[in-house]
Amino acid sequence: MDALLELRDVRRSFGGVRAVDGIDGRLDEGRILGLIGPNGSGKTTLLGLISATMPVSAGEIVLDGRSMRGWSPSDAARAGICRAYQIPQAMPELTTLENAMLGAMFGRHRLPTADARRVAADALERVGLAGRISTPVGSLSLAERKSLELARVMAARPRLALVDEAMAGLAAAQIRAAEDILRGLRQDGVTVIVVEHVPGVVAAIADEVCVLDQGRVLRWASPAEIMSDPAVIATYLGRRARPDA
Amino acid sequence: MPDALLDTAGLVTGYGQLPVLQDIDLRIVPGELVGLVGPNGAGKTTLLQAIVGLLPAWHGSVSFAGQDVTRWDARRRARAGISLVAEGRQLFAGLTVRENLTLAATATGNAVEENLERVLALFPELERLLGRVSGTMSGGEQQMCAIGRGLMCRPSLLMIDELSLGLAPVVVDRLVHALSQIHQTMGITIIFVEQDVDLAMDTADRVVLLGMGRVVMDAPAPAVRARRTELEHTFLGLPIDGQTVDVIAEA
Repeated sequence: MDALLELRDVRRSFGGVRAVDGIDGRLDEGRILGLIGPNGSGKTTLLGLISATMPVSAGEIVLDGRSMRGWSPSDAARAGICRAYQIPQAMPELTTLENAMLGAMFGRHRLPTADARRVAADALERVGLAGRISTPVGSLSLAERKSLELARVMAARPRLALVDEAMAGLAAAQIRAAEDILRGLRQDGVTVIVVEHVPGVVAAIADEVCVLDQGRVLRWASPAEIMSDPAVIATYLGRRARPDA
Repeated sequence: MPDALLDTAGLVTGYGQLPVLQDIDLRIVPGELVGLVGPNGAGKTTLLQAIVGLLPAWHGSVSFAGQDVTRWDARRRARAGISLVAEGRQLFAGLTVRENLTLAATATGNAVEENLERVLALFPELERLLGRVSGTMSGGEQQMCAIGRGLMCRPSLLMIDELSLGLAPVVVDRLVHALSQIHQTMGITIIFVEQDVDLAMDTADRVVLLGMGRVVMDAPAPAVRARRTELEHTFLGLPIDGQTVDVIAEA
């Protein structure tokens, strides 16, 4: 099976800081990849590169056999990459339904309004927001705004969903609900990359986990292997583990 | 049991509508050297800010040296002897080392010369840097200046947020040595936040582990070291003893 996403020595620097410092890897279609690592390890930067919101400094990202070099964010969206943000990016003056429609109207399928409305309403029902469709998003709770963010992604019917800290700040029951939503996405055939701060949260849903440390891959393996890896544990306990140390 | 220097009872606080600390009971007696550890977002900085008076308590109380200081503002608490060395040093970058140190003493009604002498005895490195604009110094020099500034307030409780973060190992060793001098020679009670758990256990007499706004462990350092698995699980957000640790704050 061909990889949906390939990372070939991907690098990104900000001035002298190498935020992403040579990442290689491949992700097959229909998998959930958990991306974890301590603060500043490069998780959000890597998502930015994959969603083409910022260019790579060196290396190459390949989606479905096509190099993403020179792509704009809208090129990436049209190719089926859709991103859910850590801080929900809803448009405050639009309703919940209208926000969810954005994904369907401007993403991979560019649905006409009526179809987008139907798809978005369906997605909102799946995330438990059916009763809130005409609510201005400004009056949604944090958990509801996070669910809306996932509904927007779901309505876009992407090939690759990039989900940044969908569960941070949520209560235990809300986390279970978000996990179900992500599994639902996978069932729809969507490949998912989930960034979370707390390793235990991604271990529950991911098929494979990539641990970043200082812009590099510390380990890329199954959740069980990751959670018992001494180098990973050392990183989380504050000792700066390095592969060559 | 000696009287507590610091006593928080049922302390709850947070930001906006988001509670971060849930029901913190922490009792510290004079002379303790306490390492405060926990994963990102556990509430370490929030706890220090609630103790020093930068964040109001939503519920519960903070007592210091036998007085209920829950309603006191930060300035009054500083004058009473609580001093915080904030994360990232937070020096006045445009002021010199001498100005940074002097300000702290005068703002809390303490004598400058005598306390400056004490700080320079602890950090002789600062003597030749007194005229330097603090923002131009290295991270280690800034941390010495920041700790020195905390001491200029003549505290009975010194709290240091992120002792070693971003500093070279040789500098960290230097600071750990200074910490034990502050503790043993000056007799000041210390709470320090440290992201390197092993360093915290090696340095502190007592370790308090926070996880998701709660005290997960509070024990002498060797006892915490012996509970390695629970420690690791707290940092990885995994269940402890079959119980799910509340890895995410209850909204």
